[in-house]
Amino acid sequence: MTDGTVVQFTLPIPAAHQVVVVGDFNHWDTRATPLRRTPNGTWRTTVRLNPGAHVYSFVVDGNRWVPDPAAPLAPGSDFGSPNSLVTVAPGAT
Amino acid sequence: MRYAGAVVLGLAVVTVRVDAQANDDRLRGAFDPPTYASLHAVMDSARAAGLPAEPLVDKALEGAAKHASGERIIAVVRDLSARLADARTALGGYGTADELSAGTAALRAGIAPITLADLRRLRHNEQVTIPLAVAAELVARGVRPDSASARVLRLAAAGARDVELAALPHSIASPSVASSVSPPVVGAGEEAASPTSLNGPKAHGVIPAGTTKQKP
Repeated sequence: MTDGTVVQFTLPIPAAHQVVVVGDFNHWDTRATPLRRTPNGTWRTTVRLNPGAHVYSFVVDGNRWVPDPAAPLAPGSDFGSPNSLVTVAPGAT
Repeated sequence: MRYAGAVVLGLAVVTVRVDAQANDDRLRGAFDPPTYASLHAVMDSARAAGLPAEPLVDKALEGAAKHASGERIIAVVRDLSARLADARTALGGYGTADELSAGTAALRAGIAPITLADLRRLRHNEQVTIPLAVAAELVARGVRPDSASARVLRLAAAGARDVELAALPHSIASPSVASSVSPPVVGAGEEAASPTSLNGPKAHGVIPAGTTKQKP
C-alpha cells in the first residue's frame, strides 16, 4: 500500500513481553504487526491505513486481547472481546 | 483511448481475481475443511447477491484469530452478510464495500436506516463511508444515535468535506466526549501534534490510534 495515512498505535503496558496490533487492515494476522517497546514501557508501531473506518485490537503476550484504552469501542462484540475503532479521513484537497 | 480503457478494465478484473484468490487462500489456511466449506458457501451466496466478500472474509479471520468455534464464526459471518444487505438497501440499493461496511457499523450502532438514505441523497455524487463511520463513532463516544444522525446530516447538508466531517466527534460538547481532547481522526498529509503522551494511561488517553504521521 503506497497511499493512505500513517496511524500510530500505542499501548502503555510496561509489564508486557510482546504486543501486536491486529485488525481488518492486516487481516487479523497476529504475526503481521508487532509493536516495539519504548524505554518508558509504552509499546508503539505505525501502520499505513486507507481512508475509512477500521476496527482493531491489541494482543498482549500472545493470548490477551486488549482494546485500545484511548479509542472508542466498535459496535458489537461478535467473538467475546471488543474491538476498537479508528476513522481515517482522506486528505483535504 | 479505447485500447487504454480495455487495458485498465483488464487490470481491474485481474486485481479482483487476485484479491478473491488471496481471500480464499486465507480462509483455507485458517479453517478446517468443513468450516471452510460452510464459509465459502456463505461468501458465494453473498457474491451472487452482489455483496462484497471482503468484510465477510475479515470477520471470519477475526473469529479465527480469537479462537472462536467454527459454528460461531459461520453464524457471525452469515449474520454480517444479512446486515450488509440491510445497509445496501438503506443506501438505495448500491454501495462500495467500504460504504456497506460503514453502513453496517452505523446501523449496528443504532443509527436509523433513514439516516443512511438521507446521506446517500445528500451526497449522491460522493462516497458516504466517512459520514457513516463518523455517525457510528459519535455513538461509540456516547452520543445518542438520533443526535449523532442529526449532527452528521446537518454537516453533510451544508456540503462539508470528509475531513471536516471526521473532525466532528472531537468538536462537540458532550460529557462523554469531552474527555477526548485530541482527534483520533486525521486527514492524510497532516502531521500529528504529539503531546507528551506516551508516559501512562492518562496521557496516552489524549492520543488514540489516530495519532497520525504522513510519511514524506
